[in-house]
Amino acid sequence: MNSSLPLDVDQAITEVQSAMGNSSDLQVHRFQAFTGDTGCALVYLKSFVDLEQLNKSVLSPLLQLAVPPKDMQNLAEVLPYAGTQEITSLQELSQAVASGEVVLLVSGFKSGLKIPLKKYEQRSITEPQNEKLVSGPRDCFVESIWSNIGLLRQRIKNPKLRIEMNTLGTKTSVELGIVYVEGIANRQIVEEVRRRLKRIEIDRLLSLGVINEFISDSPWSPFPTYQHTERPDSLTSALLDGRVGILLDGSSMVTIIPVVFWDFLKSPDDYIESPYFSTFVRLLRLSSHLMTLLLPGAYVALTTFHLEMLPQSLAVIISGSRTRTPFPTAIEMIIMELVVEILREAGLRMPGVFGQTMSIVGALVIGEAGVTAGLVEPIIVVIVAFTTLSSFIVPNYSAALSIRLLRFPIILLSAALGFFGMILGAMFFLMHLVSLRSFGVPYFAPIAPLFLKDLGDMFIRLPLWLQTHRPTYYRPEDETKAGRNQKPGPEKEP
Amino acid sequence: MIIEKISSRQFTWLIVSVLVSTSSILIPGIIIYNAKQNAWLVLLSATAVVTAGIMLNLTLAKRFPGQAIFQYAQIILGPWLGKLVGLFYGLTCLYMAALSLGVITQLTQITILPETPLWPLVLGLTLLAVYSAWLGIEPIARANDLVFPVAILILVIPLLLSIPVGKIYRALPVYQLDFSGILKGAFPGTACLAEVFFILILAPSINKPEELQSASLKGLLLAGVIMTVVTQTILFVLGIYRASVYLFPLLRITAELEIMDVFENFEVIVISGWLLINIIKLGVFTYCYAICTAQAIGRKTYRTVLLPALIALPLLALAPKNFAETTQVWLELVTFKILIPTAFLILPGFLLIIAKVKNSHA
Repeated sequence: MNSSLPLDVDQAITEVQSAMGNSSDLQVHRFQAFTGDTGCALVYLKSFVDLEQLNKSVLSPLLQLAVPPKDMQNLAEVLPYAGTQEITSLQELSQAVASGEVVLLVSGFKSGLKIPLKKYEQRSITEPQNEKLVSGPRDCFVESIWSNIGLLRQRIKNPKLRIEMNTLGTKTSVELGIVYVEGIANRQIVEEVRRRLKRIEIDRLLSLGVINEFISDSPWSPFPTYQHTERPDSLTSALLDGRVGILLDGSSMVTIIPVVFWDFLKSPDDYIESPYFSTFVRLLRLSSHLMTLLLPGAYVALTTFHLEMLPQSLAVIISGSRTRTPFPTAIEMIIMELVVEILREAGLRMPGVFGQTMSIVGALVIGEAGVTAGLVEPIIVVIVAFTTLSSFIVPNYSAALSIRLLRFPIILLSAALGFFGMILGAMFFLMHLVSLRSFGVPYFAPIAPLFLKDLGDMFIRLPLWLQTHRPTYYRPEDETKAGRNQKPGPEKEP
Repeated sequence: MIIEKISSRQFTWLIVSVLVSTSSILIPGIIIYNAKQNAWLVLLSATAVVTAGIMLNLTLAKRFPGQAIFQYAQIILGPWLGKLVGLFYGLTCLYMAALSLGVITQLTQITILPETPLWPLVLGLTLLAVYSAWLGIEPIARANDLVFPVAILILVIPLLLSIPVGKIYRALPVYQLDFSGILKGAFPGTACLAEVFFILILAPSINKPEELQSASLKGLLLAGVIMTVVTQTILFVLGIYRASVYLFPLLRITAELEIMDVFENFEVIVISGWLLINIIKLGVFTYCYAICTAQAIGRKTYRTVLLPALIALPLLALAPKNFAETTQVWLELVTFKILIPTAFLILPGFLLIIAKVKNSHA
């Protein structure tokens, strides 16, 4: 159904009004132009349009015209706007009006003119909230896709930066952009992204989460096979590694694909601080990851099954405190971990400044009181606090979530079968992790399968002048990143 | 059937993991009991014999590049007999998986979980084995890439730490004229390394078929070296008598260790590390069972065949009454004397001869 625009302005207006159900914010401004004998109308949504601009740069030039134009193209030349567009059908008309454009209709013309006067309410670019850095840049994506593309273009001043816009969502029609650098990003991966995005059929598209869940490789996996970022510099570096970004209008987060597990352990800060320190921090992050997953379980296994493994003095302390508490270690551990999770979630949802203070106070009070009342062992409080802290060290929020969740099955398995159970659980996760793929890239690359060439930017961060190629596991079309033999130093005397 | 690919290095590491996993704990004691100080000689000759055997297997495999034994057996013997051969390999692998499952769980129970019943251990490991086989050989090989170095490290550290306790005279004299002892010890030594027959099934998975031979030989030799080192260190630290009376001499060594008077009782850690590579072994054999059986009964995907394994594995693993029955009947009699010689030497040799005869007639 693609009916053409009626010649009569009034009829066209009636059609739009009925298409939009006489919506209250739909404004129609009728006027007579070209010495008063041609009926014209401007149709727009009140919430999107800058009225002052409309009056000054559209209405007044039109009213000054004495001779009627030959066609719409002719008319467009009079208006001081680039990017005006002719529309010829009723569907296009209502779609343009609904997405916030101003449409000019003139009696006797088979087409209307779409004038780009859209103005969003938009927040200014602020510091990132979730991915804080010590010394990196401090700008952050906002909810407007065009501002975000601007931030990106500012960093990659290269004609090869490709942005492919689409609209998605049968009811919401949100703009969505695939960004990549032509000549670096692997063609097959880009094609796969296009294909998977095209397959999505959904009425709403409110956040990137929707897209991620629809294009994920392993939809049932607790681990994310995509990366979120709110930092333009992270996206830039990802694009230059040959990865693909997905931007969504209305979302201040950007999805990066493909992703490998170890990407979640990296932070842009690593490339600013010295290689030694960055290596140290990366190892710290990895061990914290492991600790979050395994430490509570290991403690339960040790105290329940393998007390003989502990040094005698420690074993005495632990068994001493065990005799004073009523519950088995496993139950205590699970209850305490749940308490911490509740505090964390409550802290997030609590209004404004309360958040952090309440969660700290809550943790202190509950921990301290629990111990004094003889409900919890002090060591368990220490372990739980430590686990919670370590779960925050991972730079990526969504990656930390899965580990946080999976420590509960590990605790249960350890409580049932000791270290055997812990190993069993860990191997289940490992098997699952190594079987995952993100857009064809093995999730555990470059460790398993091994990409020897890429190990220089993994746990160990080599100096940047030694990192001469992009990660090969992303199969970039151009692997060279920097020239060889760039070791800095004073010029040698001839 | 889609065949997943693994690299030749992954192939080598898989071989080492499978050969070393169960054997490193069970076999040294048996060898030392029989061969005394000649243990090193036993293991070296065992490695040599298995190398000869593996060459036989490889000669067969190289005649049919890109195919597994259950595929070319049908070409050589015709569809019916060929399928029977496939079924034999499938069931042998299932048996091997169940046996390892039994050994692992019983050993864990004896050493670190004496009050826990056996079935939850068996059930947990069965689920894991079937899950890994379900995912395929690629993830198993990748997991092995991570697990193998960790497990080897966990194995090597106690051995290194126990060196100060060792006395050189315990391993002396390095050679005694005792043929019957050497032969008795050589049999389990050879049989445990001959578990390498699974390369006949996994051969098509290697991504560069021309590296099959070098990868297999490397794996076998590395496993032989590791076994020799472990056995010799045990001899050196515990002496003949103690090495042959304990069920698990390797664990005994770790149990006696003490660092700075604070850390002791490392068995749990050693068993955990040992568990890691055993899970790989379980996965490999369960996967081999599935692909052989699927082909033999004419299934397109191997995954459906894994469902009966969910029941068969625990049943078989829980069948032996005690650990002695597991090792003496299930391992030393059925596996070492019947299944492994058939799967590693008799069937491949037979197939090779027929293939050659057929070829010369054609």
